[in-house]
Amino acid sequence: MKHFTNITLIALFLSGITVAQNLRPKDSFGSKGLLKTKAILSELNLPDWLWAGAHQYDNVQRSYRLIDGELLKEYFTLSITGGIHDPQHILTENQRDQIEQLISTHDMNSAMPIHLNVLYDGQKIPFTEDEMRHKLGTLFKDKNALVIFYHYGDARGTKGYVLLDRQGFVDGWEVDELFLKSARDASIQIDNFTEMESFVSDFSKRSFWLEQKLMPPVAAKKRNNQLIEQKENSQWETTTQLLLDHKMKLLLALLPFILGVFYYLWSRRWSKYTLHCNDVPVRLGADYGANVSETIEFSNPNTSLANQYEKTKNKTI
Amino acid sequence: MKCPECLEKIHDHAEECPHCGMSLERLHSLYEDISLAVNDGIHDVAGILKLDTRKRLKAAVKLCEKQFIGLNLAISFVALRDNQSLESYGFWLMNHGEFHRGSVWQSELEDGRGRVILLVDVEAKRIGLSYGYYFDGHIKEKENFEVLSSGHASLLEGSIVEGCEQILVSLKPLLKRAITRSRKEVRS
Repeated sequence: MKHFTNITLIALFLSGITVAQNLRPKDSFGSKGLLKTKAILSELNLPDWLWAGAHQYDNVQRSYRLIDGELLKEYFTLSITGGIHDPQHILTENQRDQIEQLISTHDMNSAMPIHLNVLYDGQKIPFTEDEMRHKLGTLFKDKNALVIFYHYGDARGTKGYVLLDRQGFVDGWEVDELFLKSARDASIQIDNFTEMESFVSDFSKRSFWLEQKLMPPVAAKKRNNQLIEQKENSQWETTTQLLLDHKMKLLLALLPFILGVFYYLWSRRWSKYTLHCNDVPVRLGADYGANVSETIEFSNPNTSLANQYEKTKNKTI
Repeated sequence: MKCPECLEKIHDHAEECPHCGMSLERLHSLYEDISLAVNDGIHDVAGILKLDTRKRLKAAVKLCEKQFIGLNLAISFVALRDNQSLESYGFWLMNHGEFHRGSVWQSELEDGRGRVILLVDVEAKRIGLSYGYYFDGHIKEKENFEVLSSGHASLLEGSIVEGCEQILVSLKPLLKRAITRSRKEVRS
């Protein structure tokens, strides 16, 4: 009786599972089911990094954490020739190129290069004003610079400094106006990158007026030439370094070409036998040659080659 | 060195053969009526080649020459008279032949001492090879005989074109060996 009850319960459990499975809609199984799940999840407004996987999440965390650690150092190791500084990779490669283009155009025409540091919106440099000035003063000692700390996504949060080689930091309403007006005009833009582009472009234009006011024209021109020279040298060094860093890739890229040249030379020249011009005596009044071999005849099948061969023994043409 | 006419040994700088008196000038009267134009390595004064066989032989000559720089190869088909010999004819053609490639006369561009001519007497049914000065002392008669005998079977059957093709194929390694020997000699 006891066994009978157990069997009945098991049978009921199994039939229950069968019924439950049959009641599920058919599109809940297999690839259709997976698609449906994805469709449901896509309707939820989840952050992008969740889709990208755990490693992406780690990166996001690290970038915020490092702003007052190793990352901070990177913001204060600027090159003297100016340019964009984005150690957190906030901008895409393409965006970075576009901003670099704007800055390099500015630098070519100005004695005061732009040093643009890009930060996330809301990120703060954990220095007091005095500390900041001390750091930048050391970094740009005896140099001209327009240093900008731009918060990507909010131009109005931009902070900046103007440094002149002998004078050091320049303060005053002109400098405040330079940053504030550029930021105000740029903040009209809706798109973050367009806003940044507008800021840099506007800042560059306004800075010329400031430069003319602050620097005598001859000094500006001389400085400008020096900067161009430094920039060219720096570009050459970068290219050389790039080539040295990718020796193997370069070699692999050139390998087909080298092999092609080798094959061409081999097939055209090296694989061939070249006749050597010896000092040969000219005889019997002949310019080109006086050597004729023993002949063999093929008129009679009964004349064996062995008999004909006898004549040729131990002779040289 | 030997005389191409009597095959007797002669001096390196002999102006005429001390045995038979042969020299290039003396052959003039004997072969002056034979055309000397060798077009693309083919010299068919016997008139045995048709258009297709001529093409085949031109291709074979070109293929053989391809591996050499300075080599000027030709095949000559001739029907000699009784007082003429294949040896003296080869000597004559070697020095007086007008080698053309397309419309260019080769002698103006290349050194004639790199010439090699396969001589076929279709009347007397004899075959031989004539070499320029560059090959002096670097080819053994035994090796030369082996090259000529490679086409012997086809020649006996009357397939002259096939026989010549076979000879050209086996001529290539012989010339390579000769050039290697010559190179060694130059180095030493």
